[in-house]
Amino acid sequence: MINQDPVSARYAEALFGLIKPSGRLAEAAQELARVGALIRAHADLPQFLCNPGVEAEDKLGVLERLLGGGWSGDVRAFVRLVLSMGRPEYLVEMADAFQALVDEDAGLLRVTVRSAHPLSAAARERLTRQLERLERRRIEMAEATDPELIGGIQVELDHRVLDGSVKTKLAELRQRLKSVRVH
Amino acid sequence: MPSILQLDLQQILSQALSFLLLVWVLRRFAWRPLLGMLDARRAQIARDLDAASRQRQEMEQLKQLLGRRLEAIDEEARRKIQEAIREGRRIAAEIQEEARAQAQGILSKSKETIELEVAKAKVTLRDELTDMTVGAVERLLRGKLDAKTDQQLVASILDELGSSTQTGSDPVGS
Repeated sequence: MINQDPVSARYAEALFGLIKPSGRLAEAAQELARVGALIRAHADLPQFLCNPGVEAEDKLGVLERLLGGGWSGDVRAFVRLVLSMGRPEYLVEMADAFQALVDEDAGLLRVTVRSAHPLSAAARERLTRQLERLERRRIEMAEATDPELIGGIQVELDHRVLDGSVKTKLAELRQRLKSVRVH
Repeated sequence: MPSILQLDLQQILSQALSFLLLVWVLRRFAWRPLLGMLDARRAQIARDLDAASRQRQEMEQLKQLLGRRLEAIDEEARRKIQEAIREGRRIAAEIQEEARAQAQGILSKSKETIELEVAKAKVTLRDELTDMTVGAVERLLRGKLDAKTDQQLVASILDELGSSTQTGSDPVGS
């Protein structure tokens, strides 16, 4: 579980408890993730949402128009509650925390794999299997290409990093050589 | 013509009487004061001679005293000169010793500084060599490590990960 702000965690757990009986956790997580992505994408939006001079209903209306609808009543009510409680600055973290709760409930672990060159299908499949065996959870993998790594892979899972990149190996080699005592 | 040798007895007698009268007057009124003056003069001369003799003796004594004083002064001067020489030698020795100690201190400090600088230079050299070597390896790998080689590298990492998951060791670093 990613380290979260207690406020965000508390709201996310409340929403999780509300949605779980309906069996719509994945959809709700997706809808809330869209809200989070929207706030991340618009630099002015956080400032607008945090403006105490604007009514919560008006803020909700703006979000609804930007999203083009497409969210369930539960998620809408949740966002409305957050806005009316004056906690809009936590919305992005709440979306992440809710996603983590949903993933945990589904036995799913999201990992990000960085590599200097795109992974082959075989390597991706093999890595997924090995991580599932290691973590005893279903793995959902996101990939990113980063030429700075030079070679190898870097796997981020929860707050841990499995680092097999050439860049890190060279940094470790440099550190080891620099710690050699000279006489 | 009267003879020049013609004697006038009366004149002779009167002159003799006058002479005797003169002698008597002199003897009566001038002889004693004259003798007194002569005695006084004699006594004065004797006193002067005594005084001169005493003064000569005193001069002799003074001369001897001065001689002894001069010898004592010379001795004291020699003693002080010797003391000054000894003190000067002692101070010179102290200055020499102090200078030697200072020189030793400077030398020791210089040696320490040099050793420190050498150690720092070695560390700098080591770090520069490390940066150069690792930098060269990095540049070489960036040029040579193509997608195919990288796939082989990833495969070896997966092998390692697989063996660690089987043995139960934790392959994950923070």
